[in-house]
Amino acid sequence: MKPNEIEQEFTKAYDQFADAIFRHCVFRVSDREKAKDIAQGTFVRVWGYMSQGKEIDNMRAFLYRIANNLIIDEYRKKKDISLDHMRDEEGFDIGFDPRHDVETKDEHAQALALLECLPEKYREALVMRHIDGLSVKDIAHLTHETENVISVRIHRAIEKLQKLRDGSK
Amino acid sequence: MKNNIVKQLKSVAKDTRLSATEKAVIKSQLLHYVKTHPAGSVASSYVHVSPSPFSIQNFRNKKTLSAFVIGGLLLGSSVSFASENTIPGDMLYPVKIYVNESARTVLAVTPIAKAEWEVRLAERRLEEVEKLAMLPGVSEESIARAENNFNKHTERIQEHIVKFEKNNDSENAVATAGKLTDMLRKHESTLDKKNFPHSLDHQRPAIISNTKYALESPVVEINISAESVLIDAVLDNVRDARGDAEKKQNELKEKYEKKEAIDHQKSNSGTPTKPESAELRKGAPREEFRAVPSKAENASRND
Repeated sequence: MKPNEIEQEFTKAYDQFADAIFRHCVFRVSDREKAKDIAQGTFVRVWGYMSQGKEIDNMRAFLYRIANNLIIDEYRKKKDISLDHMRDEEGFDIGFDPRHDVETKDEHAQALALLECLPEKYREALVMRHIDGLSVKDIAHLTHETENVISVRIHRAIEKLQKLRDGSK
Repeated sequence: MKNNIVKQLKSVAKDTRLSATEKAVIKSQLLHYVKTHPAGSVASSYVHVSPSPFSIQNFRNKKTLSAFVIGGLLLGSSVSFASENTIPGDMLYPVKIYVNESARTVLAVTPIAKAEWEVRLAERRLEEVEKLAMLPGVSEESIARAENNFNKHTERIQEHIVKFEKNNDSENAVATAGKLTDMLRKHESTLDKKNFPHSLDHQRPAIISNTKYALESPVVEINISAESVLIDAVLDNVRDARGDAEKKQNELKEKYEKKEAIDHQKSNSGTPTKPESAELRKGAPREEFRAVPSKAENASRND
């Protein structure tokens, strides 16, 4: 592939998947700015890979895998900061479009607050399945788990979210 | 209920996206990055660290490494095992004396174990001489080498005995001397029988004198004479060593019996035993050992 073609391919991938990757990041890290950084970092990495002339079979899966790795790195960095501390001191920077009205804002805040309470593995599986619309098979492939494990995680994540929501009501 | 929460999440997700400006800003930043890191140049500037072929982290290397280790152990042990029955002049003989025997020397920790092993080593040298004597056309060098080694070991055994004596370890001194004597006596008789060991002699009586043999088969005489002389030399050497060892053993026995008697007396009378024991120690100097005769000496005597 010529350098020009690679650039075109890259731009195309950005236009196509930027929103999806950003959304995934928002639901994973509950921080709009951080999600933007991670999304950008994901594409920088993809470019680093493509510019070496390496072929990417499945761009979507590749992007999610890189984003997932970066998110895991992010978690490792901030492990020592507790959720309570975040809520009390800094508040949630919820990942919503600021143009939306107050009602949706509440809905956003609630959804993200609930997701925050999930164990990381459950959150990962749930976000990939229902936010990103990836198939169980793809998720299993991305996270190096079996499909069975992923299905169980999604199921438990939903159960847990429901319990949490009912409890908070 | 279940669908509700998933629906809620999905509806929230639908509204979550980058604003047009945000998207454009990120895109321009990315394109700038793409321009500064164009395709092709990135590859060269990117330092690709390939794992070292010697890295133990590499799984395939672990396999290779363990294969090498196992192979090495197998090879080492089989070589070591194969070398056990070698004689001087064989390719694996150095493995026997420098590897196998050194290893066992290290394993013999206590003084008595060391002395016993030294006796065994001397015996092994004699066994080699016997094996050499069985084979036709063995080089003089090989016999000389085995004999030389045998002399070294007997000297060391004597050193051990002297050490035992110095430490007033009468039991071990007598035991070692006794073992040496027994061993030497055993091999002396074997060597004697094998004086003319060639395959030609299978039908001949086992004990046959050198001169007799020379008269009866003058053709092979030239071939074997040098060798038989050497074997005789070894035999003489063994005889001398045995004589020495026996003498020493008897001396030691006598001395310690005497000492015991004196000690017994002293303990009965209650006087200190120190002067006597010192005298006894003085009475057993190393010079009592006659040096094991050298090969040359023996050969000349034999002539």
